Amino acid sequence: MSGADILESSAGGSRLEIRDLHVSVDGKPILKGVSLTVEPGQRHAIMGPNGSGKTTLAYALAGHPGYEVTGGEVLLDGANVLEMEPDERARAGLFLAFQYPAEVPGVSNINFLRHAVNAVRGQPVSVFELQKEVQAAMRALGMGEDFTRRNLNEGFSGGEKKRNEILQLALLKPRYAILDETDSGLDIDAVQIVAKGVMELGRPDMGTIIITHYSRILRYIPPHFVHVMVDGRIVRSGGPQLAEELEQSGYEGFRVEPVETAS
Amino acid sequence: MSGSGTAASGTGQTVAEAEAALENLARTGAEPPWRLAQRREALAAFTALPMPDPLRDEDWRRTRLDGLELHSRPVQALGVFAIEGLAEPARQAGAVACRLGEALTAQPELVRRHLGSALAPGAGKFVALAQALAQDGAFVWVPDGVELQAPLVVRDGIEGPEAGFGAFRHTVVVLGAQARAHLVVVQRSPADRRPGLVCSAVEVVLGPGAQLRYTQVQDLGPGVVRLECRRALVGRDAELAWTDCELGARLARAEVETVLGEPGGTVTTGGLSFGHRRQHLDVLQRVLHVARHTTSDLAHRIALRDRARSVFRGIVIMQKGCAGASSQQHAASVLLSPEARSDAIPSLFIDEDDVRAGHGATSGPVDERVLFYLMSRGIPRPLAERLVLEGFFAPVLARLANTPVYDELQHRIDQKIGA
Ligand SMILES: Nc1ncnc2c1ncn2[C@@H]1O[C@H](COP(=O)(O)OP(=O)(O)O)[C@@H](O)[C@H]1O
Ligand SMILES: [Mg+2]
Repeated sequence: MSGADILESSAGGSRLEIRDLHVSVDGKPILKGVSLTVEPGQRHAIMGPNGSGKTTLAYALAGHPGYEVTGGEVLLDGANVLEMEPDERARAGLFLAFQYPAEVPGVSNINFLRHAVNAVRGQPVSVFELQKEVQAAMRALGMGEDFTRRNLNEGFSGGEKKRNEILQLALLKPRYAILDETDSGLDIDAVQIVAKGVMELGRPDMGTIIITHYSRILRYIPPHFVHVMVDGRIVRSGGPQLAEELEQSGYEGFRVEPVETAS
Repeated sequence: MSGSGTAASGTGQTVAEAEAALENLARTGAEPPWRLAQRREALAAFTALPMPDPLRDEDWRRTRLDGLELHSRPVQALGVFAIEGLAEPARQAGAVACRLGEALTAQPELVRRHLGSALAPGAGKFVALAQALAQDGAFVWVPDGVELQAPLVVRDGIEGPEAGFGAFRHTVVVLGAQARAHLVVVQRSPADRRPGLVCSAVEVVLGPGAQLRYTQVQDLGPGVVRLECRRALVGRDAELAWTDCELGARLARAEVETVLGEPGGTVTTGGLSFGHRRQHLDVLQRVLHVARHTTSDLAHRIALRDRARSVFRGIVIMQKGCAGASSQQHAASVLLSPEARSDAIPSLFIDEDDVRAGHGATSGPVDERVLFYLMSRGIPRPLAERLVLEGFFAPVLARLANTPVYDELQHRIDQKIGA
């Protein structure tokens, strides 16, 4: 990297910046102006009722073709994410742990991991090295040995799929990760294991967006900020105590006029 | 000029050529008189039988032989035909696996007993052609109770003049009671556009409790028309597994009939058709449930690029008296271009109350949800598509696990994905 490059990237800022994002699905506006900045090492929780647009935000960031961005911008360390294909976003350091990961028949987990790791790291990893890394991460996540040979997510239980998402996070070491309801469908022990995986297997300076309904997972992935999303907008932002508050009172109080978030 | 007219003029040439060829063969004295008589009988049947008529013959409605020309030297083909894999203990136990010609010389009585037992001479237009003109073929005989541990591999590497060739094959596989074998046939010809006709007749007879896996990789050149007819008689509690991998040829037609004539007989199929450009790949599986408690399970996986076309017909006939029989069929198609077309047509004819039968088919482009998932992990779209297709064909490839052709097939599929 030349000195000029470093200047430019620091000028763009080392952060994931979502500015006034508008997203439509099938022509219907879902996100109506979302702004959020995630700095390296920061953890942001997004909570909100079903249908408020949390998954839409996650998909739009990952580049799902069915989610049309109609306004706003997303910058990753200054680079325009919205111009990138989904695979380019991943190689730039973005990662989405899916709420409902797809099943891929006939493609073994290990074969998939090899291709993903090679693509993201930009250089081929040796089979031996990969196996070692995978085994270590699987042990940490409490996954059985046979996971590598099984077809990617095919016939996996909900909980197995979620663990598999975090296994991928552990290997791809993204700079910014979005966890879309990674905790739902997991029992309390599993939540703890998976959360520990996120905290310990990712990069120490990973910026994280945790989408969740429950404050439970936030005990193990303590957020620096909590945001409340209602009807396609962030209607309130606060510190970690906001999560507890929501757990008590629910989202009823937020169904009113959207509050302008700090920019 | 009508399509069938063109084809008929082609066959006219063939008959003249064929008669001359049989005269030559008779003069060499290479084959016993009974064999020559069978050939002549088949040739007479070929001459007498009409060409398939797409207007009248339902089985030929979607595959037209309009362009079929049998060229100036239709009877000629060169190349290498080899069969490997018969282990010494099996040979000592009496098993035979060799070229049909060799078997005729070494064990004429054995061949005479079995040749024509599943396909009578002239059982169909193209069966007759293959029987009359067969230059080569495999003869496999496994005595009662003998199990072949390793697969037998037939390598049929067809060469021929650039101007065009005709390769004719007659293969016979007979398994005695409780015998077991896996036969893998790989058919290849040069990858250039030289025209050719490859016409094969395959007979299979399984004794009680026998188990045969018959696997074929059809990887002929892009100028070739391939017509293959197979018929199998499945004995009591015997099991037959067909795996057809249709990759090559301009037009490929495989017509496979399995007769479940004894109680407890089973047939499964699990093949693939992978076409590109203007390839036309047609697989017809016909199963006759005659006896009680017979089962059939027909599955086929199809992927098509460009303007390729696939036809998969599963015709299941459940005759009166086949009580307790069951039949399933499923065709899955992935269309990689909007111009590609896949027809999967199940036909069930049921004349018995106490049976179960079902069928299903799926068809569509590559699942975008799956592609997005793979791409979200940094995998570029072309590689993601390749992984999805490899995964789609994986269950078929699994049927070839532990055979010497597994890697070749995988490689050819990869090549075709990238082509
Ligand atoms: N594919 C789709 N087609 C039409 N509407 C959709 C689609 N996906 C999501 N929506 C709608 O978008 C809104 C937000 O959905 P989503 O982002 O999944 O919410 P959340 O993740 O917060 O539960 C909902 O009203 C939902 O009905
Ligand atoms: Mg959601």
